[in-house]
Amino acid sequence: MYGTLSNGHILSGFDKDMRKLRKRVLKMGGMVRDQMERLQLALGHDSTEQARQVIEGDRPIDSQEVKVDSFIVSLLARRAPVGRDLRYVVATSRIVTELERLGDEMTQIARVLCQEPLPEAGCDGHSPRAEVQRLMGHLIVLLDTALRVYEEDDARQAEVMVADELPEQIDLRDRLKYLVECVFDNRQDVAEAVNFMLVLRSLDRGKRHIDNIAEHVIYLVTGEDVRHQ
Amino acid sequence: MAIGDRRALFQSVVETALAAGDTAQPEVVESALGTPFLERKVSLRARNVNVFYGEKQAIKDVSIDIGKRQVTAFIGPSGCGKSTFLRCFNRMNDTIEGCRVEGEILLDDEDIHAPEMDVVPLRARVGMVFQKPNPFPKSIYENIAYGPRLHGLAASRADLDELVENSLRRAGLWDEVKDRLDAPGTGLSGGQQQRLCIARAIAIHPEVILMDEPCSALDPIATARVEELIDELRERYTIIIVTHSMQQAARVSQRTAYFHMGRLVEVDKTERIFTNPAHELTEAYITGRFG
Repeated sequence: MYGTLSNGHILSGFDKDMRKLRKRVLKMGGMVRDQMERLQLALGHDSTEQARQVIEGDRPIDSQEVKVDSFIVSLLARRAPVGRDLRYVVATSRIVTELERLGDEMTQIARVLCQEPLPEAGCDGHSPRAEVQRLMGHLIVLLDTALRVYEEDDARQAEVMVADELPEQIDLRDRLKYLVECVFDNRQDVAEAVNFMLVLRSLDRGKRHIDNIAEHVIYLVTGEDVRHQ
Repeated sequence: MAIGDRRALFQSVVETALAAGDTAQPEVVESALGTPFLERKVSLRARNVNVFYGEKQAIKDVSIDIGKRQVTAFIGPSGCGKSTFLRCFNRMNDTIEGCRVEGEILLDDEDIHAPEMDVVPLRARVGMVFQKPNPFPKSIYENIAYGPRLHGLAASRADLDELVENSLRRAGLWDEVKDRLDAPGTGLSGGQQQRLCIARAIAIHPEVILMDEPCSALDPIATARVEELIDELRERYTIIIVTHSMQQAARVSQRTAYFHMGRLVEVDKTERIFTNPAHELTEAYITGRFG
C-alpha cells in the first residue's frame, strides 16, 4: 500500500533529468546575462570591441537553445511527463525561447553600437548613453530576479514581477516625438536619433521577454496561464 | 479569478474537508471551482457508497456521477478500491461472500439495490469486460449468440446472425473472423479474444460497459486496437474503465477519477487531471512521487 508522498519521483532518473534541464536553462540565462554586462561595458567605455564580442557571443546562446530543446524533446519522449512535470517542461521550453530572443535583442543593440556609438550628450541635455546604461542595469536586475524565481519556483515573486512596471518607463512614442522635434530643430543628428530609437526599442522588447519568463513561472507553479491578461 | 485564487480556493475546501475527517468530495470541489460537474446527462449516480469485506472497509463514502456516452477512467494505486467500486455498478460484489455494499447507486434513476431489481437484466444493462479475456469454450459465433439467445433478443436465426455480425463489426473483429465463425473462440489471439469479449458484452445491448484493466494482458498493438474500439464504442455506450496505465487513461477517457485508500480523492476532466490536478495526492500519483 502506498500512503506517503515523496519529494522525488519513484524513478530517480526522472529527477536527475529534471535537475539537468533546470541547470541547462540557468546556464543559458547566465550566458545572456554575460552579454548584457558586456554591453554595459561597451556603453561605459564607448568600446566597439566589447560590442563586437556581444555579437560573437550570440552564437553560443543559439547553440545552447538547440541543446536544451533537444533535451526537452528527449525528455518528453522518454518520460511522458504529466501534471506539474508537464507544466515544468512546457514552461521551460517557452523560457528557453524567451532567453534566446532576449539574447537577440542584446545583439541588435551591439550592432547599433558597432555602427555608431550613442552620443554622450543629447538634445534634451540628458545623455542617451547614460540613459541606456541605466536601463540596461535595470534589465540585468530584472533578469536576475526572473532566473531566481525560475530556479526557486517562486510564483509569488513572479506575480510581483508581472504586475510591476519599470520605474523608468520606456515610452517609445514620447521619445520618438521628442527626438523628431529635436531633428526638425536641428538640435539632434538624424542618424544618432535613429540609433537611439533602435536601442530603446530593443531594451523595451528585452523587458517584455523577461516579463514573459515570469509569466511562464506562474504557469509552471500554479497552472494558471496569465499570458495576454 | 486572479492568479492562484482557484488553487487557494480548492486548498481551503480540501483542508476544511480533511479537518472534518473526511475526504473532499468531488462535487464540493468542482462546485467551489465554478465548473459544471458534468456536461453530459448522468448515466450512473453513486451516493455515499461504502463497501466492506467482512470487517474491512474497502470503499469509504464515495459519491460520483458517471456521464452518459463518455469514458470515465478509474485510476489509483493497487488496493485503492477502484475495481471493488467498479463491480458495485452491476452488483458483481454480490457474488463475494462477506461483501457488503451500503449507499445508493442509481442507473438512470433506478436504484440497483431495490428489491424489485433483478440482477440478471441489470448485468445485461451493465456489461463487463475483465482483465483476462475469458471467451466461452465454444465457437466464435456461439460466444456472441449466447447472451442474446438467453435474453430473447433475437426472434429468428436470421436475426441472431445479424446481431452476431453487428456485434463483431462494432468490436472491429468481423473482417478477421467472418470466415471462421465456427472456430473456437479460445483459438483467437489474446487481443482478438478481448475484442470477442467486448463483442459479447455489446451483443446484449447494454447501456454501460465496465472494463476492469481490459488491456493488462495484451501487447501494445492489441492494446491500441482495444483503445481504438473503446473510443468508437463511447458514441453508443457509457464506459467505465479501471486501468493501471495512466497513459491509457489519458488516451481513452474524457473524465478521470482518482482513488486512494478506498476514497475518491478527485474527479475531473481527464485533461485537467493530467495537466493540473487539484489534489496533491493525485499529483503525486500521476507524476510517480509516492513514497
